[in-house]
Order: sequence, then structure tokens, then C-alpha cells
Amino acid sequence: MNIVMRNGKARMTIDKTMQLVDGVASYNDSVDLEAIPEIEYVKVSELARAIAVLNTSGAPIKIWGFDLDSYFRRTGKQRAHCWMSGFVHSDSYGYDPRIQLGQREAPVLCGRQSCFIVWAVRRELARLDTAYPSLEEPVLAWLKQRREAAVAAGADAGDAYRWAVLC
Amino acid sequence: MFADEASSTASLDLSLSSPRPLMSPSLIKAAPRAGRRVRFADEASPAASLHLSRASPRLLGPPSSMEAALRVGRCARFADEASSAAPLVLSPASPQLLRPPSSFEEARRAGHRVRFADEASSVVPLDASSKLAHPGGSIVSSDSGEKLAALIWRKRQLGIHLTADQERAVQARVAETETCLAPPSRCSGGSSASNSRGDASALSSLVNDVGSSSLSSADNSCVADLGSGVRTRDAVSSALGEDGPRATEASPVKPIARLRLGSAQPHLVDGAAADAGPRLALPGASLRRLEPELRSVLLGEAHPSANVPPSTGWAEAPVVLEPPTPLTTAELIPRAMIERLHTFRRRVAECLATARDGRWQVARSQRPAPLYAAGVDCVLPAGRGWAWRFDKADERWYPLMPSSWPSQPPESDLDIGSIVDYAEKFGFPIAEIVSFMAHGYPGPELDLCAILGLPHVGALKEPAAFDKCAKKDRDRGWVHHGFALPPIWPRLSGQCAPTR
Repeated sequence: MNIVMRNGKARMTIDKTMQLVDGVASYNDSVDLEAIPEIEYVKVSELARAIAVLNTSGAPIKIWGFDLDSYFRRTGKQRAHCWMSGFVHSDSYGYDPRIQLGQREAPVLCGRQSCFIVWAVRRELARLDTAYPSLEEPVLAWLKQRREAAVAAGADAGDAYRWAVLC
Repeated sequence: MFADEASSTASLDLSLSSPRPLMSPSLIKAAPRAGRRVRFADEASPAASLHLSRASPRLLGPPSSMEAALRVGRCARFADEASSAAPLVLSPASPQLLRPPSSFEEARRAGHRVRFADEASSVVPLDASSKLAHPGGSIVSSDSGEKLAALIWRKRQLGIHLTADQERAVQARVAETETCLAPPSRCSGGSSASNSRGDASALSSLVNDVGSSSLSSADNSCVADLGSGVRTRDAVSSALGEDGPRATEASPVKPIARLRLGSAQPHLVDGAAADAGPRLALPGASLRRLEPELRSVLLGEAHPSANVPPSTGWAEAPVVLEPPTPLTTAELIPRAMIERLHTFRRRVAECLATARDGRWQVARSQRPAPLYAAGVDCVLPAGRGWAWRFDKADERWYPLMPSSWPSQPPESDLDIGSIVDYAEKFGFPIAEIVSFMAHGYPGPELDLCAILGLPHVGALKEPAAFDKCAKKDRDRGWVHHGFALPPIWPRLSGQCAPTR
């Protein structure tokens, strides 16, 4: 058990990397991150350029985001592997069936879970664009220009959100 | 002594209200410190001294004990620090803020608030045209022509020779200026009022004067005007080749004098090569050095492709084997191991109790050694090859079976049914992570063994926070607890416990 203070708030963390017994690899040392597909996250500079691209439409641009409380802890662990997540407190023993902050593979896997959320959000934005299209002439002209640019760049349907999204 | 060292106000208060001489040696030692603090506060901030002497005369009264003297000194020090960090806080206009801050941190924050508010109110309105690449922010793109002119001016002032690139840039600018002074049809669109004959002559003299150690004031002013204003900047950048070869017959040197805006090395001859190669770290680099991207470029640029992992297939849940029959504790765990587990828990409890008393160093030395047992040592033959889960209902141990959606979903807060349906309906390409969400995140493949870690020093230093976090996990039902023996056996635990 460990307590780390972040922004004045205590967080319980777990050190699953420390090798407690000679000759026995720790949990994290046994995780093969190379076997897990990588995620290409957005960079701040890319976000800025995306905003600049949207700004050429002349429409107001707003950046938004949201945070999920205790994101790791909402997701369950494979029960057959819960024996790797035991603990002992002063009054009793116990175990933790949720994802723990300290598992080496958790950020990547939870990041892929975030990709699912991003995908769902993009779908909903595209649906909103379709259901409630803009009536502003400059915006419509911009969308037309962007679609033409997408065709010129050889983009396929899967890349539509990269060219003609408005939301 | 007080009258000598403290300020006049403080000494007056002390002398008038002191009923008897300060005889205590400890008080005599403490009093000069308090007096000095008051004097410093008085000298540093008249407002603070006014507050101390009038609003809170108690603070300046005679210390009746060592503690009182220290309190006086402490309050005066806080007032002093507050006055030095945030003079506005102590102004008479905000009486509620005149109280001495309860801590130095509070005074520091108060100072920051005042400073930030002041800086926020003094922001110069920005030219919207210069924010094209940074909407929503207050980043101002620099005028490259102006910066170049300033650079040249500074170098000339200091007697530093211009580089060949800079000389070419100046020559190109001179050529452009002369071109713009020719018939309008030959001039690029950015000519402005600053493109006057005076500028041209001054720049010509500047070019001719390359290598000399100083400039006349007239030259300085003309060079300073070289890139002022967006229109002039456009003229400069276009003359130097920002937007491609817009060279005129009068400026044959332009191709080698290209100014690559947005490049880390804008004055290199080949700007493209500068962009393609490794960029050098700019000393004192700032976001304000960024240049707005061209609209034509942005219109033809796709949004970045991000948050898209490679497509993967659905991963099936682990295969369910034929489970063995339930066992009692005596049938599963060796007696010696049971004793070790009880002892280990007691020692951890003692360690945490010591930490709660504030003696974390002692608690650290009390920590038991990690408990380790190989798979064959921690489980009796009847239970080997499996991990076992204790059921409080009948106090028996059951083999730990894998979770599998939809029949045996893992413990989670996810609406797994809706997630799987949505992903299948609309064709989410990364099915593996959906299967992990449904069946439970898998861990690495490890051989069964028992390792029990010990509390980390961080938990011993912050026992109250540790108890709070542990209680939160328990209250939310995120952990299983309250077992005299580990509820899953064998089991691993790092130097730790549940996390969040």
C-alpha cells in the first residue's frame, strides 16, 4: 500500500513492479507491453492544428472534454486472475476485482477502452451533423470545399470525420 | 530594549501597557525577536503596521510569557510576509483582507491572486488576424519581418556582423522596396505606407553600411519600421519568398533569401531542408514565436488520425475446465501456512497502528518480511493447480472460475450488454477491448504462488489518508474484505493494496 499526495488529495497506489522475492518476477515484469497494440494518441500540436482547420470555416470553435470519475475502478478484472490482486489491511485480508492503478497494462487497455468512447462520440457527432445540418452559407461552402479536398487527397469513407466534420 | 529596536508605534504600545518590567530571561531573549519582527513589518509596510497598531492592539501588547512573545513575533512575521507578497491585500480598501494570513502559504496565494488579476486586466487586445492558428488562446504570433529588423538593428548596435543570410534578407528587402516604388502593377500586394523612398534610401545605406559598428538614428528608425504592421510584414515575407517565388525582375536575389516562416530556422537557404531535418532547440523558445498557418494550407489539411488502435478480433474468455470439488480450510491450506498468515496479518496491524501514532519510522522497522510460498508449499495436494475462493456462506473453498460474459460477467460498473450491442451494431473495429470489458481485463500468465507484500512507507507516513482511501473502496463495494485468511488462495499482493 502506498499513499501519494496529488494536488492536496491522497491517492492510494500499488507498487506491482517491486520484486519482493528473489527469483520471482513481479506482476508488472510479467506484462508484455509489446504484445499489446499501441494507441496513437492525439498530440497537443495536432489538436491546435485541428482547431485551426475548423477555424477556417468561420464558425465559432469551442473545445470541450469530459473526465470519468475513477475510470480504472469501473472496469472489472478477469476473475481467474483476481488472485494476483490481494491485499492485507490491519483488520483483515481481502482482494480487489477491479483494475488497479499500478498495473502496467492498465493504461494501454483503458486507453483502448477510451478509443471506444471516442469512436462512439464521433458517431454521435456525425449523426448530429446529419440530423441537424448547418444552414449557414459560409459553413456549407466550407464543407463543400473540405469534401472536395478529401476527394483530392484520396480519402475513403472511413476518413470522413477527418475532413468534413463540423462538430 | 523594545524602545530601541522596535518601531515607535510598537514600542509605545508595549511600554504603555506593560504593567511590570520584563524580568524573565526567556522573555528577554524572545522579546527582541518579536520587536524586530514588528519593526520589520512596520518598515516594510506602513499599512501593515497601521493594522497591527490600531485594528489589533492585542497583537502589540506586552507578551506575558514566552508563548505570547512568540505569538507576537509570528503574527508580525505573517503580516510582514503578507505585505511583501501582496501589498494590495493590506490596503485599507479591503478591510476583510487586512487580517494577518493564517499561514505563509495563504499569504503567497493571496499575492498570486492579486498579481494574476492585475495581469489579466492588463492584457492588450489582440489582432484577430494574428490568431488564425491559435483560436481560443491568447497566443500572439510574432511579426517575422519585425523580428528580423529588430535582430539586425540590435546586431548593428552591438557591432556584430550580420550573417550572409541576414545580409541577403536585407538586400532582398531593399530590392523589394525599390520594386514597390516602381509602377504599382509590379508590386506585390503588401506594399504599405512605410514603403517610402526614405525607407529605401535608409535601407540602401544600411546595406552599404554592413560591417560598420553603428548606425545613425535615422537608420535605426527606418530599420525598426522594416516589419512593423501586418501589411508590412506581408510585404517583407512575400519579398523574401514566404509564399513561393513571387520574385520580380528587380530582385534577382530572392531565391536564395527565402524566409521560411514557421520553420525553426527561418533564415536557412533551404527552408524545406530545415523542416525535414532534426530541429534545433531554440534558446528561450516561446509559443509566441509561432507563426499563423496559411489558410490555403489549413483548408487542404485533414484532421489528425488519433485514438485509433489497430483493428483486433474478439477475444474469447478463458476455457472453463472441470472444477474440483470444494474444500475446507484444513483440506486446502497447510496448518503451518495458516499460522504464518495469521502472524503476518497481526504484524501488519501492529505496524499500521504504530504509524497511526505518528511514528512512521518505527512502523517502517516493524514491517514484516514479505511472505512467500511456492505453489506446492502453500496448498495441500488436493488443491494444487487451482486458485481457490473462500465462500463465507458455507466456509468452504471453491475453485476460482474465469469470468465470461454473458453467463459469468466480472465485477464492474460497466453496462456490458449495452456496450457489446452498440459495438456490434455499428461495427466497432477494435473488438478485443470490448471482449476484455465483457469478460474482464486479463492479467499476465503467472505460476501460482503466494507473495504477500508489506505496507509502503508512503502509507505509513499518511495513515489517515490510507484509512480514508481504503474505506472509500470498501464503501463503494470495489473490494472484498473482512477475511481472517486471504479470501483467494494462493494469492499475490504487491507492496500495496487496492488503488484508485
